[in-house]
Amino acid sequence: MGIHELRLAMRDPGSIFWILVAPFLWVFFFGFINRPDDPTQVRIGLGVVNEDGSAVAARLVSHLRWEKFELVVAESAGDLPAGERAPSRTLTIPKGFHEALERHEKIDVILHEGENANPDATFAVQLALHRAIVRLLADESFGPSRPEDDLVRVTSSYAGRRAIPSGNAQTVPGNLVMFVLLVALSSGSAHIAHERKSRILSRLAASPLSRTELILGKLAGRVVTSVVQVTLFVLLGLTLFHMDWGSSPLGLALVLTSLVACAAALSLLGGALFASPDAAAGVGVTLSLVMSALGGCWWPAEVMPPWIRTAGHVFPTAWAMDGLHQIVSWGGGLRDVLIPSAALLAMALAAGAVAVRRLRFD
Amino acid sequence: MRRRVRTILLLTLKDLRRRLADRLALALNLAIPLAIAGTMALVFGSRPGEEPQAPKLRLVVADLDGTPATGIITGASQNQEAAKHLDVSVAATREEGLSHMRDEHFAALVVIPKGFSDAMLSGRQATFEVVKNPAESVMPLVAEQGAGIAALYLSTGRRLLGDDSKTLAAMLQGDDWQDSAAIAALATTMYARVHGAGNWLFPPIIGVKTEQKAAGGTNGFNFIAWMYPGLIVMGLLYVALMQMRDLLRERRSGTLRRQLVAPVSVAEVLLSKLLAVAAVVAVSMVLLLAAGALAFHIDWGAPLPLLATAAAIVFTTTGFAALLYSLVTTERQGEAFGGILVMVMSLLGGSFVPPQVLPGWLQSISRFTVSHWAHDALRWIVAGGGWSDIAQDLLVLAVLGATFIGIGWAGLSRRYARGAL
Repeated sequence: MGIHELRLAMRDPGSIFWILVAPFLWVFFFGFINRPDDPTQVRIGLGVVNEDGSAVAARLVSHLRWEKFELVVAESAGDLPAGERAPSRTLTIPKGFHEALERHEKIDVILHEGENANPDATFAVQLALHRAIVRLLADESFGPSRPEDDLVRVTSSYAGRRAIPSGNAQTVPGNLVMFVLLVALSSGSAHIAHERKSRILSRLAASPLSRTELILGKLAGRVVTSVVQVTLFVLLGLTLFHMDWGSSPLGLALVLTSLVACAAALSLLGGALFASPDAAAGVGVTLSLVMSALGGCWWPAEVMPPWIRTAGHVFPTAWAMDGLHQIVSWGGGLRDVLIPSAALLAMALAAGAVAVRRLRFD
Repeated sequence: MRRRVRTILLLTLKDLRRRLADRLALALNLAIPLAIAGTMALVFGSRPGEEPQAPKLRLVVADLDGTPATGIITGASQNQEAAKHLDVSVAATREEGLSHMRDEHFAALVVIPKGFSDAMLSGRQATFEVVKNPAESVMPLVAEQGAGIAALYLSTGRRLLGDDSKTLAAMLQGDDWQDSAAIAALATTMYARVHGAGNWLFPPIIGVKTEQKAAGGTNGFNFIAWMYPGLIVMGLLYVALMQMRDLLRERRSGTLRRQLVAPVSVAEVLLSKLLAVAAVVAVSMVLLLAAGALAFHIDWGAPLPLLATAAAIVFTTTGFAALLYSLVTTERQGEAFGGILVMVMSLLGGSFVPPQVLPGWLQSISRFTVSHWAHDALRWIVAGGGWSDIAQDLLVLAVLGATFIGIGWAGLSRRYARGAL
């Protein structure tokens, strides 16, 4: 029954798209957006309008050259390249800059962010500007120095095993969790609701199959679809996206199996609760998007307020992401994913139990 | 002519009443943009006038040096201002810090090695370590950058101390605390230096003022106000497609063909169908705009530019749906290809990320999508833009809408006339 269910799904162009194409389109798109490993390591174009033209303004410009900027310096905004070659950001050192410094008065340099400027790069520009300004002021106070003369240094590394979380590798686990739930809760639930509405289930009930066999068969259909999705994600993650799935295949299998079980049970529950396929699909899509967002599939969980991060664990998405992070990010093993997997399986059991009680064939 | 207009209006009104009776279907279509916007407001949102709350940087500090100088770092979060942005937890060892970071989701572990202060004050290279949490993406980079700036300040502070740093180092080690004359001399010299350079450096006398030109991106950037217009357009495209799908349902049940028995023409029936779809899209738009104002406190600006933008969006989304359903032959195809096109247009058109973060070639493709121009117009409206800011968007939307309606009308009316609808 599971394989027949998958065959049915594969006849529908919409299902093919959402199971086989959309997830990877999504991963490619957001992976491409997150492509630079670290925006602060990228050379960023910056136009500098030095209206002041003083020696101290020139020293600020030379400090900017030590940062990762592609500088274009001009005396007025009109002298900067225009059109497509125009820099996305322009720094203006205003007239009266050196007089203000001589008088020890506060003065602002102005960073103009263009309409097409990337906000991440602007943040990196602000940090680099801050460093250049501190260096300039220290040099003005204590005499010139170079960055390599700094007495205090920082070494930086990642704990665990991952190099730098970025690009496709960063988006694959979140999208895996989201699309498994999205397909299960939308088309999976709608399919069961449709079979109830069109009385296919009641006709199947007239066959020699028992109620338990029928329900398990429907569940198997959802499981097979989710297994296909997960397998594709793992394989394409390895080959296309150069994803490192960690060093514990057993641990990874446990998390993913628990996720599949949970998605299948929730799918059955959706199909049991809604009489109309449209309602089942609509609620399923909305719910899976909200669960994905609050479970940390859309953005790094650390940007969420702590209470939402904690509350997000009422959803399977947060547990699945916890488990995947233990395996993929920290290089953990089977023992590290026991709690997230147990939570997912408990949710699967609860959803399955309610679904079995509520599912009516007629 | 009057009779024809009356007939079309009558058909539209009756059709509209029938469509609006299925409130659940309409609510479910509107629920998706509202749920996404609501979730984002919950995670990132702030009320108007409130300062947006940046997430706190959560650090574990393992101070293996344990001197008063490094104590300033471990006690950083006790400062009221720093406590708004920092959450610092102390660990006794590096291993304890690592385990703390993993179990309690800290962004990074800062390890200050033994002998750090001594090295710094005696003019030798001093290095501290930042270990980033690999399960997090943004905040560990913030921690790394912050540590770089802290190191620069420490280096600058060391230059401020000059040769007196050795005296200070000796004092910190407890050798010279009894020599009150030396302490007084050091304090006097340091006061003079701090007074001179401190006026420049702590805080820096040169500030950076950022001015943004982006649509919807004024200095008081409101993430929800930027995001919501994109979600509205995506939601309206889905509503238009769902409503236009009704044509193929009627084809299945044969009601459209039977309608031609009545004294109405193909054009009258088809026009009334398009008007009914447009009316449902318009009602949805009003509901989404109202929800934006009430739930997310979005200011929709001057009424006339908003009205013109709303009309252009309703016209174009209806046209898009008409074009699609003139090309597909089954409901399944319509749902599948409609869903795909809306998703791709929303991704490229800027519903989820600003188009400017896309590479140049994708930005060029983005300009061929309805979503791009509709978002741009709505975002200008939210940013307080006027007619001159939205003129180009309205023109492109009108041209796209007219083209879609034209091709869609031709295809649908041909199929309807030969009984294939």
